[in-house]
Amino acid sequence: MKNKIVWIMAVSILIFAGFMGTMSRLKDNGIFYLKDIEGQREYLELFPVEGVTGDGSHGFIFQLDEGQLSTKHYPFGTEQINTILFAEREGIRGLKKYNYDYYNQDFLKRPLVSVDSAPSKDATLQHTDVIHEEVLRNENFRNEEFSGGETVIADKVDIYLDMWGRSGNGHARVRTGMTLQEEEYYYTRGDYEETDSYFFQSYFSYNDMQVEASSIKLGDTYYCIAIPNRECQGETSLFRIKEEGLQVHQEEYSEKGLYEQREYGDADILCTFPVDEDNRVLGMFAVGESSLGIFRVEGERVFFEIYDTEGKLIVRELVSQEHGSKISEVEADVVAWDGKDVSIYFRMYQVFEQEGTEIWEGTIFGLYQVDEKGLKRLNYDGQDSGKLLMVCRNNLILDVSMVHDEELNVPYYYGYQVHLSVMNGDTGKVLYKGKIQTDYAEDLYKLFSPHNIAVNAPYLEESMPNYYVGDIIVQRQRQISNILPINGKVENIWFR
Amino acid sequence: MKNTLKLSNYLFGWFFHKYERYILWISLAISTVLIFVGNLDNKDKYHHIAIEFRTYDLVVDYSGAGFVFLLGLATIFISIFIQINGFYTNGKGMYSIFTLPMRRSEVFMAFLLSAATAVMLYFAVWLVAMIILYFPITSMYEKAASEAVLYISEEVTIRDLDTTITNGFFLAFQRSVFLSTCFPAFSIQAFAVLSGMLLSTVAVVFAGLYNDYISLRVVLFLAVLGGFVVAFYGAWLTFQNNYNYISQGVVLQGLSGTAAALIIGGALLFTAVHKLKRRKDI
Repeated sequence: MKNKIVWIMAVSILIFAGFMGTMSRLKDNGIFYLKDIEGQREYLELFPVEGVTGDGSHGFIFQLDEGQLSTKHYPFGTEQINTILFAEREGIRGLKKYNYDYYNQDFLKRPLVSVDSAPSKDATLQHTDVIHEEVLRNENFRNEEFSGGETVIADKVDIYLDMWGRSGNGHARVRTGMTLQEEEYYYTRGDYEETDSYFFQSYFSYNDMQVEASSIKLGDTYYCIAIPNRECQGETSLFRIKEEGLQVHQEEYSEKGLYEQREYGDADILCTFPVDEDNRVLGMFAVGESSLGIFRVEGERVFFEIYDTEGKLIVRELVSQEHGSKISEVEADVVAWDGKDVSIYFRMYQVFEQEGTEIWEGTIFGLYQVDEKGLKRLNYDGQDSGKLLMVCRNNLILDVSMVHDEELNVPYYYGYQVHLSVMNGDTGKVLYKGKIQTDYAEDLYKLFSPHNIAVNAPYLEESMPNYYVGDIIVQRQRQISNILPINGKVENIWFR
Repeated sequence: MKNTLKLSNYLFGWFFHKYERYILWISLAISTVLIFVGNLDNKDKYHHIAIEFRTYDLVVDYSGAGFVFLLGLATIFISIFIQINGFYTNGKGMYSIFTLPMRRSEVFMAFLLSAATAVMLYFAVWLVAMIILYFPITSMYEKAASEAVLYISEEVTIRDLDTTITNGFFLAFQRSVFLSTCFPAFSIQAFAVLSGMLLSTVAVVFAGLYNDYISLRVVLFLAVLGGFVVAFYGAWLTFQNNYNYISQGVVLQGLSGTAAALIIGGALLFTAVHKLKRRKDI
């Protein structure tokens, strides 16, 4: 012990190295495996999936491939691991994957589209030299001083679709064919007194008109459509525009112009759909690499149509004979397996207000399979909540859901575990059922720990609702947060 | 090298006897008391947190042991500075040290080695203590939990809960903000702690040895603080992410902090040796 420094350094390094080595070995000692419940696991081989699980401090990316579950540990929170998974799915490796901004990258892939309005050519216009009173009621303008303004009121307006390319500043603007004529639509400008600046506002932009734009990029071509609200009349068209068709127009909007009626760019109309009280387009999404899917309503009937990139109708399928007039929201999870076989899991909702709360009531749920044999609706009408993934392929359905596990001695929804089922697409017969067996339920006791369970404390069910606010304990509950198909391009789409 | 080791042994031995052993034992004793007594007995103080289901990571994080650790570490650094500066102010021993038959760079390295050993020893003893404490604390809480009754509602109560935690040791050291930050189990966090502490150690030794300009010392103190920020940035990020429900890039920010600390630490080391060589007054 003559040389204390060397001894202390050596022992300290040994302690740190031993600790890190032990922890590295222990990281795989938790319980996380696939437990078969019934059927043959071979059915899972058609559905290779990967996902993220963990808590706020650590977790792993798991893969279920060829029926075997494998894991890779990361000492980060689940959100960060999700980012790594998305980056790896995009083929990004090395340090870059840790800094991948999935949400912005995904956003950048889509063409930027929006809708706006301008008075129709045959509209009756009223012109005044004052700011429209509705705008002045807005608290943002209430305390401002204005030197003047201008307002035009039209009884009929056209809706325009604006598209911007991602690779430059090109712009296209087209008239959709839809009009609004139920209200007095104003376009107003206010000139600020203290500065030489002004603002524009219109009825269309000021009020939430629920007219939206949907866009897809297939290859180097953009496909865009305006999605009408229930007041729209006329027609809406599916536009196709190439990057070079976007115009870099030098001529800016006329200064202090209240609205814009001009059209720019070379957009082709591929097909047109009637729009009125009975006819609505609900949404559009890509079906694989070379076709487009559109949900439409005609009266009470709901249709699913697939078009090719020339706008030619390939197939038209009746989704439902009824409920068409009720449906106002549609969600669709679209998965293209290896860029070819497509699975479309859709949910249609009736949305209404009840005591000031917006209620989404599931109306039509379904699953479509698109492959070389064509379009097929599979035998699935499940409306269960807690779905992590619902996909189909080769006439089989994979359902990954949170299911309440009776074996777990914990109350309420804490006893839910991830179950995987493969079903026959024609008969609905369950061919395989399994669950991801974990030790995650052990974390639940910590969830109860912020409540004093002594005699005088409130019962757990009374105190739990007030619990989930900024507490670090919440970050220590492991859960499976994401499951995605391997080799499956996923488009999570929600639209009106 | 031999002379460097001899001098560093002497410096470390003196530092350990005069400062570090007290800092170590006092900080550990306070933490142990906090972990055992503060959590288990004082129900009123922690009335909003039931004791029965708490795991080691929660016990440690809520006990305040992390603050005691940081306070002790800060005291170690302050003591290192006081010790080195004391060679100038108390008895002018620094001038004797510089007359030893060794190069000035070796003198600097001896001070650095002694300080680094003190810091390393502090971390190692604390880690061992935290590992040892895991076992009695966990069994104590598991026993308490097994005797607990969970009142779900007026009608539903649960007894005889199985409260054992699978792989609990690993989970505790991963989930505890204090333990995962100060005693990282994986390389990316370990690099951050290592480089941050290296920067702080070089800066504090430089500040102690270089007494010409107060402004330079202030900059070096800031570098010591910078080292602490790099080393324990993970804890700050965890709190940020947890409370704001965001996910900031741990890896890249950690790596850039690590790289910056290593570069600045290296530059300080080079500058310190260079400046010592050029000093004419000693």
